[in-house]
Amino acid sequence: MTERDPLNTLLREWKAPEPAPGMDRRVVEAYRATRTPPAWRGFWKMRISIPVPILLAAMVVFALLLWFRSKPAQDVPSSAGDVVTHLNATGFEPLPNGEARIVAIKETNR
Amino acid sequence: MPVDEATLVREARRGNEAAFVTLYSRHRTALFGFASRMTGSAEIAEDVIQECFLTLARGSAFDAGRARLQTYLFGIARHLVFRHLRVSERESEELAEAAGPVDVLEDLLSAERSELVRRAIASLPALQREAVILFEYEELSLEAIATIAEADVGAIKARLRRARESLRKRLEPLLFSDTERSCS
Repeated sequence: MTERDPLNTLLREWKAPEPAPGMDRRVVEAYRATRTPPAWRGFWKMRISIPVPILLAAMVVFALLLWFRSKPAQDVPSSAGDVVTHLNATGFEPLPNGEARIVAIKETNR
Repeated sequence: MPVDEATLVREARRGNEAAFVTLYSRHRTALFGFASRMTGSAEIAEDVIQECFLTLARGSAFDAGRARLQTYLFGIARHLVFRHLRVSERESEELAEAAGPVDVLEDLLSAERSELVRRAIASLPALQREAVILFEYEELSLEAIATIAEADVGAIKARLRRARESLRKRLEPLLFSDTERSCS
């Protein structure tokens, strides 16, 4: 194992390959990824910034929505006496032979 | 003022990127040389290096009082390299058996000397290859190699002796031509 051994000189002729240029960046990025906490942990510290005019406009729209929803619904006007809006057909049976017969009002009153 | 490695490791584990980069820059070349020579692949060596440093940053058991960081990192790299070699050697076992012995004289005609050295070292058993690479190329002491390989110094010496005998046999034509060149 001495330096004068020609085997040592020969072995030194084999140089290790160079790593790819992107290796350093890849390793550092992998390190950063291990340091970044999961997204759900950051949820409680999350911040958003909204321009004041947009915030005010949103508040006005929200207030209007609330106001419209809380307003009592107007009463429906009662129907006039000469307009029939409902028919009760309980007990109605069509004539078996389908023949129509004209009945005078007097007969019905009886 | 240079910062000691134990402090850098502590800082890197706390998320100090500058500390991590300093450690990485100090050790990357030697570890890459070892991994690429052992596996014969720069791509696999890059994966090994990344995993090595991430293991260090994750906070696995490194005790600065007991071992040097270099030895610790080589230990992780060794573990990863051997895991890869176990898989790939199992896969290529049949191919290697079919290939038979390499004809060095024939290779001389087509390959460069460094390529022949690479092939000769690659043909060594993994433990002998490891000893040669760490001793000859990374210039580690026998004691450091013994720590990394989890063996005693006597075993490392024996591996080196056997490896050199094999290499001398395989590279004999090149050694002979060297001697001739130096005489003429």
